[in-house]
Amino acid sequence: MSDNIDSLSSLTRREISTIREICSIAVAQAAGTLSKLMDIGVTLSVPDLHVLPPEEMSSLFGEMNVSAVGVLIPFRGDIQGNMLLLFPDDGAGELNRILFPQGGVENRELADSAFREIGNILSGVFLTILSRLSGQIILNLPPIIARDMAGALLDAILADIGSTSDRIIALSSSMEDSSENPLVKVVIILDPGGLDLFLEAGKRLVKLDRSSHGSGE
Amino acid sequence: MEAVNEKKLPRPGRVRVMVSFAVGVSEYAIKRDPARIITYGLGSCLAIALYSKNNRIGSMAHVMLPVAFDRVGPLKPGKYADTAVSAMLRGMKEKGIRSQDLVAKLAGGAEMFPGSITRRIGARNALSARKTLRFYGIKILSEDIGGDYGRSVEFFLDSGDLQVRTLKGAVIKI
Repeated sequence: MSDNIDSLSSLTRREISTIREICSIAVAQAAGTLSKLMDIGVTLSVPDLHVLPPEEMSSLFGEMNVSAVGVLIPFRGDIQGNMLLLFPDDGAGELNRILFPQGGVENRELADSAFREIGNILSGVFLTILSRLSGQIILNLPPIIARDMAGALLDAILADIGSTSDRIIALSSSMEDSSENPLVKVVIILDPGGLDLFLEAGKRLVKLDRSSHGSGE
Repeated sequence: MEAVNEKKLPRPGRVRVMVSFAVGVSEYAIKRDPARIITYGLGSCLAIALYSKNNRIGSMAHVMLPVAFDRVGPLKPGKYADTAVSAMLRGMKEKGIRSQDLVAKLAGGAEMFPGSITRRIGARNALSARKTLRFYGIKILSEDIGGDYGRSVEFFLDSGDLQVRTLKGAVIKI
């Protein structure tokens, strides 16, 4: 793992920004698709890239003792990891009202099914773009849903990855509606093994970018 | 004139102030009564509490992983169940507490996303803590382990009670 971290820290600012660019493209596509399907304006923030010990990661995501709906979408293939959608209670309620304007929010099964579907859409679009840009095979597994403390949901994923690596590579983004109400936090945690492939994709894009602009860094 | 029972009046200068200490992920703390140690959002993580009733001193760790194995470089002892117990015992010893004066309580170790492809960290955390405590001859008085729900824990050093709270509304003392 230390090799991967070393390779990350040896990247130029431009290469790191390219990795973020890959994710931004994927995130924008995912937000656009969700926006069309739900017929509301949603925005996803440009993802932040974190490389930290797992125990320090949870503090980046705010109040961890609050109730949340968590949707976990593991992805496997050449690049592996987990996507976790954390819907704070308010965001979950807001989404339910949007998805079920005639009511039905109280129906837990219906609401859970909607959250899974949002997970499928976001992860499907995000991973398709990531796969296309990196030239690697990535498959998303069916979403798993849990309702609990945000900290406990995140903690389980961080511990799982943390058991194989002293540092975690994660991307985080927030989705808001057109009135800037927070709807969901998107956390993508990469398995260390896939990082090299991810970085290669970033470097390839940097080269393409350089050749298209006809100048080096 | 109504008789006043002097025993019921608070004695000046004897106000009891309980101080709260929060323990984050991979941390541990050793405190003496009057105090309580709190930790939030335990998923697969585990709270390990050690208590000396005679001295009213307690220690609690919020561990993330079962064992440190042969990790090299700087190590955060509170991160692993085995190294956390050792570090807590060392800290207790510095305060004059012997391991035979201590009892333990455990909470956490859940499987938050049952059915997912995980490494069953919660169950392994609990196993490692039990094994390490047994190695040091420390009796485990009670546990609230497993399930698929998160927990927040308060450790009261006046009584040694561990209060476990879940979002489903349950509050239990172990």
